[in-house]
Amino acid sequence: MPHSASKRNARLVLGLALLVAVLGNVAAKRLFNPPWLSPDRRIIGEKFRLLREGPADVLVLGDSSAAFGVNAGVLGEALGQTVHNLATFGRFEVAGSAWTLDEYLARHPAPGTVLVVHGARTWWLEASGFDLGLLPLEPGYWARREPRRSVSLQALGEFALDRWAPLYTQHRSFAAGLRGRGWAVPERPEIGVGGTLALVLTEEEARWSNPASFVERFVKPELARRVPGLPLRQRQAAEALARRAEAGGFDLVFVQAPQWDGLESVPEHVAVIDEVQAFLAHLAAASPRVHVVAGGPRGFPTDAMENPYHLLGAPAEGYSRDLAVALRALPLASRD
Amino acid sequence: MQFNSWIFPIFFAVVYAGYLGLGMGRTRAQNAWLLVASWVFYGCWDWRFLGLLALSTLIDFVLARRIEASDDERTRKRLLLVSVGTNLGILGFFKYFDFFLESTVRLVERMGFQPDVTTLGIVLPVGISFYTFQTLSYTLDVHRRRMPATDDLMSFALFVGFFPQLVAGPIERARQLLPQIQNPRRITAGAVEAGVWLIVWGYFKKTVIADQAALVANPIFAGWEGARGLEPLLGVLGFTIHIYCDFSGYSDIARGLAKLMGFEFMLNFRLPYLATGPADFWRRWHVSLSTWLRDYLYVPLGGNRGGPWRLYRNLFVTMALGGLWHGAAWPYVIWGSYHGALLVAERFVRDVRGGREDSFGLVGEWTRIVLFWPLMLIGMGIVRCESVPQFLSLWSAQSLELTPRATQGFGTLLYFTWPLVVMQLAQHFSKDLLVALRLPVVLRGLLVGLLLLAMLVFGVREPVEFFYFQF
Repeated sequence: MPHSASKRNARLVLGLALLVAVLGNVAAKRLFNPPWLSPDRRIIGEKFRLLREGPADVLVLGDSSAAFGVNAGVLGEALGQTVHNLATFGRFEVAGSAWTLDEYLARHPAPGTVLVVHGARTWWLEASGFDLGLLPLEPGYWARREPRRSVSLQALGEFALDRWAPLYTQHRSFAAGLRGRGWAVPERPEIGVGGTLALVLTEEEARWSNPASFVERFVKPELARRVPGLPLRQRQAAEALARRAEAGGFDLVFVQAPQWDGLESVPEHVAVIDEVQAFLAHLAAASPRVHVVAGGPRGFPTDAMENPYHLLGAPAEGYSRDLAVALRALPLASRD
Repeated sequence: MQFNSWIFPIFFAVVYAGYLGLGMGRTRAQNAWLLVASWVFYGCWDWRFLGLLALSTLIDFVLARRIEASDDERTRKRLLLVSVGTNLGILGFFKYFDFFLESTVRLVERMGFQPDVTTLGIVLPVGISFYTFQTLSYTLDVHRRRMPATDDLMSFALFVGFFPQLVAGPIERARQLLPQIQNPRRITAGAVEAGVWLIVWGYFKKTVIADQAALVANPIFAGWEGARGLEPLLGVLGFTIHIYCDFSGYSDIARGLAKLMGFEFMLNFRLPYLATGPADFWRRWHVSLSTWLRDYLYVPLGGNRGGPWRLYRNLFVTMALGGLWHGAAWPYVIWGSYHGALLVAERFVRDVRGGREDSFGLVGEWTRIVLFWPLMLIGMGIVRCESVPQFLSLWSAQSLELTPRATQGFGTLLYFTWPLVVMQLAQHFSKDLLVALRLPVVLRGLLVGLLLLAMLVFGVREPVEFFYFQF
């Protein structure tokens, strides 16, 4: 049989191929409920479910150091208040906390206190389009909400891929499923009451868990590339949070997240913490609604950490009790 | 800029839009556009090496014209030697200087001396082996009066640096490609369909089959001291699949891109893993190189003239040097020599049997294919190992024990390789490498769509460099 070729056939082949690719992704999105096919999506899905579920006296926003380090149940019990931990990932930058808070305020009355807990690393991270796609918000939300944020063409492409090509962005889960290895629905970390993430390391993980190697592999190279000074987008996001506190009449408390004590011997990291503390102090001085827990980040030994910024379950409970004490020491208007 | 990088599809879209926008009648304007694009493409690796590319281009352009202008055989030969010497000198310096220096130092050390020599750590310009052979073939052909020298520098520069085949071939001949560059081209619906198919199939072979096979094979070679049971065989088999799908995938993409622009490149692979013996293998594997070696090395050495022993010598020397072309390391030389020895042995048997070309039926053909596989796998093991001790260790560690890693690895290879097997059998029995284009148009569209989906889900994301770039 000869090859049959015509312009019509060429167009038909290309059109059909693209249609198959598009339909495959649409089907994957509809049939397999992709938010549950990756750990990050599962966590964000749970946090936003909690956000929609109901009001709380205290909200915890921030990055994964807050998600792991602040135990909502323990903190709530110590304060005698309901606490929801809506913290997600540092990759969403400080702006991620502001956007999450907006979603909450659109549904519920303002909470009494909002805790914003960020590790030092979050202050230099920059969200990619793939990250922006993870937040379950309408396309282009970054340009419509405060703080407004511009994104590059590449990030726009990544966002589109993340939203509309789940076979691409969640390929590991789909590949595992198609190969009969079970859908890679992640069950860890455990998401506890109030949205707290808890990870109990297996014996093998505990053997290999090593904050020092994380610092060498990620933190130090990132610090070496960092331009000194806090990025404008991060400062603007923190200022936007402060404006919301003023407008909403709630207390905004910034906390520098707990961290591995080995980071205290990394001068570049210490410099970032000092910059953050100075900036937050300046912000607090400008508004009676903004507070900062004094003393900078609290250090923990290696066996208390999964990585330099993630506390394990038991130390997180202790840290949360101490945090409650620190909060009580602050002159919060919401307690009056 | 690699074909499997994010930037390449954008680059090609821009280049192609500009190319079509200029109009198919404006050949020179299109050529100028393609030349600029090709230099940008190459400059993305390291713009400094554009100078080398330009130097090679200019030298052969000028020398070929002078060769053609001269009637004096001695002058012609001298000019040819300048071209060969300059091209091989550049290639030798960048590719082989450190290798020969290191080898010499080791040899001297074995003799009991302690030479105080350090290598230069020379960076290998990507694609230098390919474009050097391509431009050399032009001067050699002009010298042999097989083609006229061109007086069109821009066309010649595009011939040397045309981006689809610049860094990993096919090694085009000027006789074939230059006329396509200099004359108006047509883009037919058939060429577009074939081009699209080749590009999609090439990307599928590279990102899904080759890169997944590499994920199976690479850890075995990296941790070779601990490999046991069937793991060495798994490693070699994985590499065999990897290198073929990687390199033929690149060639397919290159040929597909060329077809979209109205060019026709040489076929580089003709189902080499269905070869019935060593000679047949080299008629099918990296055809643009093996025919180059035949035309410009084996034949000038004397070819099959002068009796069987000279023929055996010529075969062996050609293959050993062909091995060295691939890389400046002893495993490549050993690999080339191994294939040279196989070719000599095959030829010897044929000569002993009176020079008869056997005709064999289907069973005979498949028996030969199966029998040649172990010999080919040994060659693949040689070329993949970084040292002789590594090869010997893997060789001696193998047994029939099916370890858990081997079970999983063979499963992975089977899972990702079956589309290749099905396609190759269809190509073989239909005697049509573009057999997919015989499918009804709807099935063809669905097949291309499924390959795209497979690439989305199974494609290895981190751009893994094409294996042949290192050559």
